[in-house]
Amino acid sequence: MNLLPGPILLLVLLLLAAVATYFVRRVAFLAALIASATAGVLAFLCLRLPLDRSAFVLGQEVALGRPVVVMGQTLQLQPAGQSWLAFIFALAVVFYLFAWRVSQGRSFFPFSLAILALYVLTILLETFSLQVLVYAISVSLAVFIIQSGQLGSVRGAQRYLVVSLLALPLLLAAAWLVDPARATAQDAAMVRRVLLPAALGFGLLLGAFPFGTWMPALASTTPPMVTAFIFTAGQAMALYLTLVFVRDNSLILNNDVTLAVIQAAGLVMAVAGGVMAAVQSSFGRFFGYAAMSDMGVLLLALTAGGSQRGTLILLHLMSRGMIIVLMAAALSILRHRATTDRFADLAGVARRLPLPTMGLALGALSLAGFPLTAGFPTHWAVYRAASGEELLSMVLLVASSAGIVIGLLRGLNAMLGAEPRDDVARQPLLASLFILAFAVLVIAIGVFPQLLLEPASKAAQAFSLF
Amino acid sequence: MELFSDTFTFLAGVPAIAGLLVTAAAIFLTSDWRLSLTALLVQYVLVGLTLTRFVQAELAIVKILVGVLAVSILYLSGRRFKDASASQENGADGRQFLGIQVGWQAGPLGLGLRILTVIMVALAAILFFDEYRSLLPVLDGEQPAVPPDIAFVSLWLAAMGVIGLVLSGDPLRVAPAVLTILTAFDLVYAGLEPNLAAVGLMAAVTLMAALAFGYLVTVQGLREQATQEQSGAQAMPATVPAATGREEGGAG
Repeated sequence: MNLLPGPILLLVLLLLAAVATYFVRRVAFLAALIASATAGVLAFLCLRLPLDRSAFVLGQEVALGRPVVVMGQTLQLQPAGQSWLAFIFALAVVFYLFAWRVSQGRSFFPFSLAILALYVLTILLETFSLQVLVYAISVSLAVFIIQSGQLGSVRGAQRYLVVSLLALPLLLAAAWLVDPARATAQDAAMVRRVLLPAALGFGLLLGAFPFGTWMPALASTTPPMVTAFIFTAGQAMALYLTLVFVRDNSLILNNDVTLAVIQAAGLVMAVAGGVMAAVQSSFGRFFGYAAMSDMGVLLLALTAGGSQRGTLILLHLMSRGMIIVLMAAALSILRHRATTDRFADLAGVARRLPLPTMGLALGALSLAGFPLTAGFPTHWAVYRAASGEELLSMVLLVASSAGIVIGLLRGLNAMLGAEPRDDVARQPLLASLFILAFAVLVIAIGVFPQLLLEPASKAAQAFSLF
Repeated sequence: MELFSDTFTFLAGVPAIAGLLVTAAAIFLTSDWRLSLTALLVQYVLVGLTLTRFVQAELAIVKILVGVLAVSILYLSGRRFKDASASQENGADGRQFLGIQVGWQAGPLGLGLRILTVIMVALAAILFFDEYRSLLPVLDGEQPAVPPDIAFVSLWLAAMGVIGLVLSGDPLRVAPAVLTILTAFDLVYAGLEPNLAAVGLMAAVTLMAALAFGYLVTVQGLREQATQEQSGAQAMPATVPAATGREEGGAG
């Protein structure tokens, strides 16, 4: 029997599923089943199959780590990419299962599977410039699920597209300049030349201040699970590209100027997100700003944590994924049942939708780094690192968290109105159970962060980070 | 044959560079989306022509074809909705030339301010050109990898693209600006990166970006159409009783 190379298996399965779900996109159950089963199988394969040898799956011999040459390009799954894909596929399973119960747009299943195939291709490629180009294509495709046929504002989708496309030339230029085969100037001169395009490019890609305005714009109009897809899987891929770049060019990250730039961008992003979250008048925009603030903390983790910063970043990424899924699920039900997420129109809704309200509260508290929630361990580590360097940074970060909590309290206050809302349908059972499960998970990770520590540590080792 | 070759080589030099300077300015200056897309189309042709100095003619032709396709996608998306809403974007003075708005108040900012912006960008490009060149790659022996004319025109295209982005949030104005920025980069990068996969993927990015912008243009057009229909439907009940009233009054 023929041996099946991993790259072919990953790409072909996703593309086949994308085609199949396109044809059955009107039957949510079937589309969700195909999409979640595909993502689930691939997550399982990425978690369980070894890269250094072949293994039998349902009688078929599969070599996950075997390289394949397609049109002159070698595609191979590396250990770092394997853990990254396992994380993204696991998230995708959750998105698809939820989208079965609360629609996120008919195009969500086929297009997101195609985007996942592009993410896989990004990880399989060996050249950074090609990885960036494939990622840019995936961003263009993401516009279709962000808008998802709605006639709402195009601002969020357009900003995301523009910012990501603007990052492309800068990153390609940075990659060209650091290529040791081409660069003539070495060390300090090379770092000086690369720093500007690299900092701007990755800043744009990660939505660092002041380029992150697409996040609230997107969260305010896009179906929440699609927002979660972009905020978790999409930004995880942006982070992957960043980590690949700094891993291959460690000289850049160890440069004092680079560290100062990342630290300043992360701090401003965290604070701006927190402050803006405090004054929003709808849960969608509040979600966007809170996620933006959390992304700032993730950037700060890049400069904090000493030798363990790789683990810290990945731990934050994993817990962020769960928190954002929880908030997005709660927001989905809120928008579906109340038909709005504006504070002014939500009086009395909390009584009709207690679990989504709890999900929103827990998710927001977790994004603020509240104790006993999944966001706490990594926020605490970053805050401690910040307090060791400068007290002002620590104060600003605490103010940022306070901003998110204030925004949440304003929203909850609006939802807890005394008048009962009989016009709002009761919360859907399965989707609410989904929220309950994630709420338990978010608290469990907050109380026992070591549950995620081992996979995060393994992934960091596989990445050979720092 | 030699005459053709000489003419082609001549055209790929100063005329193409001058054309690129003009088209980038035209995309920014014009308030008419059709003129903007036409300038973008010409820009792609001129970029292909210029690139024949560094890359194989086949690759340059591919770049032109990709540009033509990208512009076609945007035109087809815009044609359906923009003509209907054109009257809303027209300048207050309503002066037209070949059906194109040329009045001083036409488009965002007004033509006068846009011309002033172009002059300022030109001065800034001249002022910062040396700093920009120092960022560009160098070959062995510290020779610049990018000729000065290409470096300047890429800086000009990028600057005009960025200013165009700031000017408006309309997808049909943002798309040419973003594509101009990508073209500016491609002008420098195509000569440096011989990898065919990179060339192919860059073309794919351009096409996908055009498709995505085309989709956004369509969505926005449909949205405006729906809003107009909604406001029309709301106005209708008020109009009908008024008409009925007049009839009743007339009858009385």
